[in-house]
Amino acid sequence: MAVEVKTTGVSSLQEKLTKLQREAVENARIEVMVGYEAPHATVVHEDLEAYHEPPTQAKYLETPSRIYQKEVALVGRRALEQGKTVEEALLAEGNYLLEKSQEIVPVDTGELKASGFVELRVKGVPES
Amino acid sequence: MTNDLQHSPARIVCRVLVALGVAEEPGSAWGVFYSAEPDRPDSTVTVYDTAGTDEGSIHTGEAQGHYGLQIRIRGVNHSEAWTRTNLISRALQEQYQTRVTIDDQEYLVQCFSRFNRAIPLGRVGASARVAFTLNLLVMIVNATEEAAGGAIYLVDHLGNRLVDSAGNYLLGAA
Repeated sequence: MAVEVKTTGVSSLQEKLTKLQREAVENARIEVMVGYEAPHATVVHEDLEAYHEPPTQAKYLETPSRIYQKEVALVGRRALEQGKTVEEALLAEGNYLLEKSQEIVPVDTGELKASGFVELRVKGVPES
Repeated sequence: MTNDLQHSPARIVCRVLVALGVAEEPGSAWGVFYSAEPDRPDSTVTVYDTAGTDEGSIHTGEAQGHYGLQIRIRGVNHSEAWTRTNLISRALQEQYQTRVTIDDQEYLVQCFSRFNRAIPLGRVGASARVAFTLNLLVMIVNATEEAAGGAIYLVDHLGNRLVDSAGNYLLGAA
C-alpha cells in the first residue's frame, strides 16, 4: 500500500521567511540619527575640563546613549509590539535618546540645546 | 566592572600608553597625563574617564561591563597631532592583555573596543595647537587579587605559613 505523505504549509512558510528576509535587508538600510547641529556642539561635547552647572555636562549625547541603551531598546520593542512600523520604532528610540540628552546638555545661550535633532535616513545601497 | 579597581581606568591606561611606546612619562614631549591637561608641553596626551557600560552578570554572578575613556591628543600643529592620534589609535586596537602596575596593584588591561574615528577639535584656544579626541571602552581586571589567590605557600600541618612573600623562611620567628 502506498503511503502518501503530504506536507502542507511549506510554501506559505517559505513566503513568510522570504518576506521577513526582504524586510530585514530593507530595514538594515534605515538608520536614525540623533545629534546637535550647532557649530560648537562637538567642542562642548568633547571638552571634559570645562565647567557646566549640574546636571548639565560634557558628553551630553554619549553618556545617555551608554547609560540608557537598554531603555532605548525597550522603547523600540514596545513600539513594535504596539503595531508601529520599524521606522516609527526607530524614531521613538531616537526621540527617547534626545529627550534624555536634553536633560543634561549645557545651556548658555540656548543655541546648542535648540539644535538637537532626530532624523531618519536611508543608508546608501551597499555594494555587492 | 569585573572587580574593584584601586586606580581610575584613565590612570591605568596612561601606563598602558607608556608601555606601548606611544606616549612618554610626564615631563617630556608626548608626556601622558590623566584627568587634567597641562598647558605645557605643547605635545601632550591626556586620558579622561567617561561613562562606561553595564552588560549584566555572567553565570557566576560577576558583573560585566566596560569603562569609558576619552584620550585627548594635543600637538603643535594639525599634522603632528593627527599622526600621534593615529599612532595611539592603532596601538590600542592591536593591544591585547597588557599588564601594568601602579603602586602595589597589578592590572590586566584586556582590550579596547568601540573605536570611533578621531574627532578633530580644531585649534585649542588662541594658539596654533590642535587637538583630537579618541573615545573608547576598555575592560580592566585587578590582577593583584588574582595573583594572590593563585599563589602557592609553604605551610605547616596547622596551616601556618613557613615562608613570607619575599621568600624568607619564617620558622623560629616569634
